[in-house]
Amino acid sequence: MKKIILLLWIIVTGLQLHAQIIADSLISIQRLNIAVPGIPAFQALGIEPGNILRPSDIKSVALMVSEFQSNGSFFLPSAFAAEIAPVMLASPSVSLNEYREKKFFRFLYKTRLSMATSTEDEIVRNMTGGIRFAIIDKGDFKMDTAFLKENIFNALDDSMKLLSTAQKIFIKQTNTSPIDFRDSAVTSTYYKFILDSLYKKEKLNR
Amino acid sequence: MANAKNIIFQKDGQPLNVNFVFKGIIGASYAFTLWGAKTNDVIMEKKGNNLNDDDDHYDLPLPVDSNTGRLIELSTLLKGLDEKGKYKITIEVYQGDQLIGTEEEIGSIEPGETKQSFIYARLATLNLA
Repeated sequence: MKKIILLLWIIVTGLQLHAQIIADSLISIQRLNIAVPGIPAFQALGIEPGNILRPSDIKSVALMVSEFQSNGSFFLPSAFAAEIAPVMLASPSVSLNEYREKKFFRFLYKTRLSMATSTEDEIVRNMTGGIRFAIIDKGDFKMDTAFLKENIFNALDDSMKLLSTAQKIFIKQTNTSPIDFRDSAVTSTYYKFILDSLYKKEKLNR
Repeated sequence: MANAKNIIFQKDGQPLNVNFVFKGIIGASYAFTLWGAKTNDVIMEKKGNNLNDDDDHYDLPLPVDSNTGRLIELSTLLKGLDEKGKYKITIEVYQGDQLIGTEEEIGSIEPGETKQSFIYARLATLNLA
């Protein structure tokens, strides 16, 4: 006889109250070194699975669920661990700005459901489910415009400028069409040479 | 020679404009280039990023029919800012307020991964002769 223990363990993550009073500069540092809370379903069973399934699209979820089915009926796998972000999977078309502006959406987006099974002996099998979410997340660097500019966008903009300038030089000098550039020339040695030269020149000018 | 999707406009219609949409939790820096028809001349060039959605909209040159055959290129440098996820980059072309065509790229990106994307659309008019 199989004994199934179903636990629902809600863990509220986020920073503790004392963390709210730390200086903004410390928050920036904390972003890079924040402790990730444990996954509730695994903690409930006291296991640390080596292989956690984290499907990144709806298709993968469907494939995962289909593996629990055999001859038309569902069965419980003996060792299984998965964590799913349902809203993230269901809304791949949200923009960075929509994410930053919609507080409730952000809450749902970060919510994770977890599920795990383990086997005690030949007849006892345990299963748990859990949910984790963040009410306050001051460690989310995507909400910090200054941090994004300084650490992500400045570098992206500088690199894009170099790539675009190198492309224009290559196209002009080789009379390659822009579409042919994308399809073949982007990997050419000459383009890489132009890019490298521009990069060195830029570095010298700083 | 590789082709681009044709977007048909009315040469005696309202002015043309383009809008770029970036979906997904990504950092995106782009270079928009309007290439000449059958030439490699740069007609227009703009740069921007997705930190602000409101400024990714550009009016194309006048007169309207001068854009016939011109090639819209959107080159984007992307960085994944979240867990592995999907992104979608879209070129929207409007004539006045009316959306007359789109071209898009959908892909997936790993957290911290950087990749470059190129999307093209050619502006064309109907030849009824």
